[in-house]
Amino acid sequence: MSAVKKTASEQLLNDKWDVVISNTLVKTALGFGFGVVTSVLFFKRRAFPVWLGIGFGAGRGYAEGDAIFRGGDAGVRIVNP
Amino acid sequence: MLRIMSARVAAQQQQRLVASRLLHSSVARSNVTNVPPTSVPGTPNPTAPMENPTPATPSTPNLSSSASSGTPPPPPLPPPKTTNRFRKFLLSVTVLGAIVYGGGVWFALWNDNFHDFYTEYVPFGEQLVMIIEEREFQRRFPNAGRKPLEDDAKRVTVQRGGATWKMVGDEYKGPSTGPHVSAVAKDKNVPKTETKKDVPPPPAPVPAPPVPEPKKQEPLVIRETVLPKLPKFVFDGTTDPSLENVVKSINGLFTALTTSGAAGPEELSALAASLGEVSNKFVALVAKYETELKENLDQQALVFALQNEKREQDYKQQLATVDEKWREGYFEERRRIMDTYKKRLIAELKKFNQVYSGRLRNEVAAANAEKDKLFADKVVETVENERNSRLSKLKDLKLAFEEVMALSADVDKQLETAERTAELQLALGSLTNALQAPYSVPLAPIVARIKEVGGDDPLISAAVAAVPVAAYDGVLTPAQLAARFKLLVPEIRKVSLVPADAGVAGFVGSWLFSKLLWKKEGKPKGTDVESVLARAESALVEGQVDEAVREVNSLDGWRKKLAEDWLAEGRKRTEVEFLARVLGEEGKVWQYKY
Repeated sequence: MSAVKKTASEQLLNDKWDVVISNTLVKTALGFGFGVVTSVLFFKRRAFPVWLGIGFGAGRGYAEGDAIFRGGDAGVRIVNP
Repeated sequence: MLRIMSARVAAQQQQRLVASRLLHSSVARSNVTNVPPTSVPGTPNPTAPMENPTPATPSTPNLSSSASSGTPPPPPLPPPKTTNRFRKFLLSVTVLGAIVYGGGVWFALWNDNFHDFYTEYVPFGEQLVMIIEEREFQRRFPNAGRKPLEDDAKRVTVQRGGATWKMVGDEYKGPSTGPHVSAVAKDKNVPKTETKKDVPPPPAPVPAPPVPEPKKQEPLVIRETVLPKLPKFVFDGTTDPSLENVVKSINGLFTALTTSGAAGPEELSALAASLGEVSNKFVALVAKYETELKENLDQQALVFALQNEKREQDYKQQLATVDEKWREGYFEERRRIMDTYKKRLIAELKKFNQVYSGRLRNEVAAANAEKDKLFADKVVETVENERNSRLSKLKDLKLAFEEVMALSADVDKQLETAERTAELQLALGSLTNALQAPYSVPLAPIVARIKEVGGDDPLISAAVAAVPVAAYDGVLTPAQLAARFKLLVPEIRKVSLVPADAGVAGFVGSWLFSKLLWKKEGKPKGTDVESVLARAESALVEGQVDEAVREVNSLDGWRKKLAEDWLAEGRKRTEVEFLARVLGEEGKVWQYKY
């Protein structure tokens, strides 16, 4: 297995931004999906569950982004290539 | 049991009877239904299978005829078959048992292992085998255990042997007969056999004629004493009581005849005279026999004497032979012993000779060694004397030569040092060239060369050891560092306002607000990020890499973290430059030193 190429120091922050943005997008999309399903199933297709789901997802992504910038990798699974 | 069996057989017979009746009736019915068999040729006949068994029975035509008559008479019953199963069973069991037991007994007598198995596990097997064995034993030894011993004399008496508590000659003198000694009753009527037997006399070479046993030794003398009235017959000197009795009876007869008057004294005298003649003849006969006997005895004595002499001669001859043999043996043995001792003596003499000659040789060798040693000492002494006197000047020559050699070595060393200095200068020049080259040059061979030339110089060794291993592949040139710094600066500027432990908002804010910051140039004062960056950039433009590194190193937080790689490269270049300067100074020192 080839060694993972070390990221150059000036690219560290860019990598973190990549992870944070993608994570936030995924969580927001998940919240949107849950909101849609919940709206359809339980709330007669009203809009607020969708917004609520998006809010939960985005908030979750933001919180994890904070953790990532502070040195941890909370909520993010790094898969070795 | 038998009753139950017979009852069962009777029941079976009855069932068979009923079954045969049913069968016959069904056959009859089928025959009735099959009268017009051609009426429906196409349809299959359901009773056709029933027809098959009927032709097998010979009574079918009768049955069909009777069936056609309407009243089926009872068929003639087959005689009840007696199977005799029980009898066969009994017979077979008996035969099998006999075979098994007989074979088992025979094999048990033949094989010991099977004997053990048979007697142990087969019921009654042990008794059977014992009976057979007992009979066999009786057949072989019919009188075993009953026959008494036939003869007392044939018994073997075991002598008492070994140590005993008794004193010598203190044998038991008690009764030697009785039930405690022998269980066999002693027959009192049997005359005691003679225990002591004389040695049988040697057989007479000449069979002697049967000699009548002489009744008495003295010759009979008849003395007739004629009494005035009565003649009396007298046997003089007889000791034989029978003869005395005869004489007495004759005299008594004479007396009786005389007293009865049947015979007169003359007749009696004549009778006495004839009796005297007869007695004289008898005496003469006895004397004759005695003489013959004596002759025979003399002859036998002569024969015995001859034999005795012959035996004596034989004995002497045998004695002489044995004596000769012993003498020969004695001489033979003496000669053998003498030979043995002679051989031993020779061997010992030889050994002693060897030992003695060996000792002599050793002594001679020791004397030789002593002589050689003395000779060697003398030679050494002579040589030493010569050396001290004539060859002492050689020592001076040697000293002078050693001085010249030291001088030569010194010169060589000087030359070598000068050469090494020149090589060091060359290597240092190549190092400086490599650092000033417009591209990255590998430093490993140059460093190795410097180390080799430097040898034991501690400063050079320490400087070479201090070169970072990462720099062996080369260091970045100042131009390369400046280009890389230009790439680094916008990244650092993005995070210039990030507080410590910032989150997403902090980074976004820093990015946004850093756009509003006033960019500085030249060498402004201040510790803010823009000032530091401006100073570093100007230092790089001037070619002062160490200054730029120092400035960038003063950053903190995410700024320094982003600049880590550039810092490492810059430090590497700075270190190598510094070490190159140190080595150059040392090279100058070398030039002045030698």
